Amino acid sequence: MKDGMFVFDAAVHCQDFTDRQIKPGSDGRRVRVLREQLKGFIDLTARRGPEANPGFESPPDLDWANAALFEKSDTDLAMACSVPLFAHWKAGLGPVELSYELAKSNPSRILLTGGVDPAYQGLDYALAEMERQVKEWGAVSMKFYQYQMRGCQWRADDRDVAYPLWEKAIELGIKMVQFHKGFPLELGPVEAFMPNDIQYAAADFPELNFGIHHLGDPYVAETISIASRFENVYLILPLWFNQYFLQPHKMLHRLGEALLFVGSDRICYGSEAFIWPHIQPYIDAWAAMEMPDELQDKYGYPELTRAIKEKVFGINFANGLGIDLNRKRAEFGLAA
Amino acid sequence: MTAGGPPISADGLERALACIRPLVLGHGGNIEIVDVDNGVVTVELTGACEACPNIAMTYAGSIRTFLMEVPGVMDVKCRRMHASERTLDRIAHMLGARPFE
Repeated sequence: MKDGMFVFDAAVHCQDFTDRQIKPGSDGRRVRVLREQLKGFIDLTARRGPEANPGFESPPDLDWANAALFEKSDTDLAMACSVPLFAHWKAGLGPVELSYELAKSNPSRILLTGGVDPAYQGLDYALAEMERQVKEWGAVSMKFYQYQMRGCQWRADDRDVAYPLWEKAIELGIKMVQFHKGFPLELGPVEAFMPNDIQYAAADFPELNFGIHHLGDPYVAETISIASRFENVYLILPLWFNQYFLQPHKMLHRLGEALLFVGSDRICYGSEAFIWPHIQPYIDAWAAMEMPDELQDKYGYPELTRAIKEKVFGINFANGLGIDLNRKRAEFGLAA
Repeated sequence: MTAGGPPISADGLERALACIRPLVLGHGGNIEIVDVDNGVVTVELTGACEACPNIAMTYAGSIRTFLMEVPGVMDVKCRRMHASERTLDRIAHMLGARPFE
């Protein structure tokens, strides 16, 4: 809890970017490229923000990860978030198996977001795997990464490829599906990660929530516009917090736009641990953050009230997932 | 219901809406009152107004001004209105509408 506010981290990862992940028969270029790209980006954010993890390419030790979340930070609950980019990777960029191991290490405090790819794995396999991850591993959500390689990508509004996934999610009791949008990992084209395909999916499946990560950067305006029009679209903020220390003014503009046009009920905190392992500075920053008077006056952005902070810290993500936070508070012995 | 003031007349609210609604309909939207409680009238804008970037202008300019003229109305809320009060007050002053402060 941070100052009485429940903290639910929407995105922590068990990544493996080492050469162990190079798929047999692949030249390994894409694994190396991603590692170099990420190293450059995390070094950039660390210039003004919390220090990055020097061993970011390896999966975190589970005890260390639990301590980083629940002993060294005010995090109450976290989502182990898979990244199902498979094409040139042996087990995927953020392997579901590793996310599951993390969730299993502390099942009351760490939930699992699984991941499949209907274009790369085939729809029948993806549907069966979704069911297995929910029923055997207890996944409460699914994450999607929609571009694998040339000729292997899919859209969320594809009635043949994607809609069966949304029907299966509803059948399995999943309330929210999530998407990596914007910023392409390794060599994929950025336009493959535009958020525009979420619109028809959100319209055709109003009983399902659609979470967009990273504000769809660089398609931030499109992402905010879409979320403002569809009440079942959530904005999940990992990378925003990491970038805040580097570009605070720009990030406040982005957040201000989101709060002004989407409102404060569907914006969710996420740390992107453990690439950035020092989680508490993000929590402290959000708790203390203010929207400067100049931005309120010139751009109409709302004041960052305690009510808004508490919703972003955890209430919104829990609502989107259908998780009863009062029950969690009681389970953890925390005051409501 | 009105807190300490005259009761709010349903006819009065309808007359105010009759002034506003043609303006909103002209932009492909509509307006309805979803709650009246302790002098606070809550409205919802629908259709094209739902996610319109100019919803603050519509609310602070005409909707709130007309509805605040109805006896007993102490405040007007609008669902989906996320702009800060200082922004809304600035808009109201620019438009010569009813100030917030």
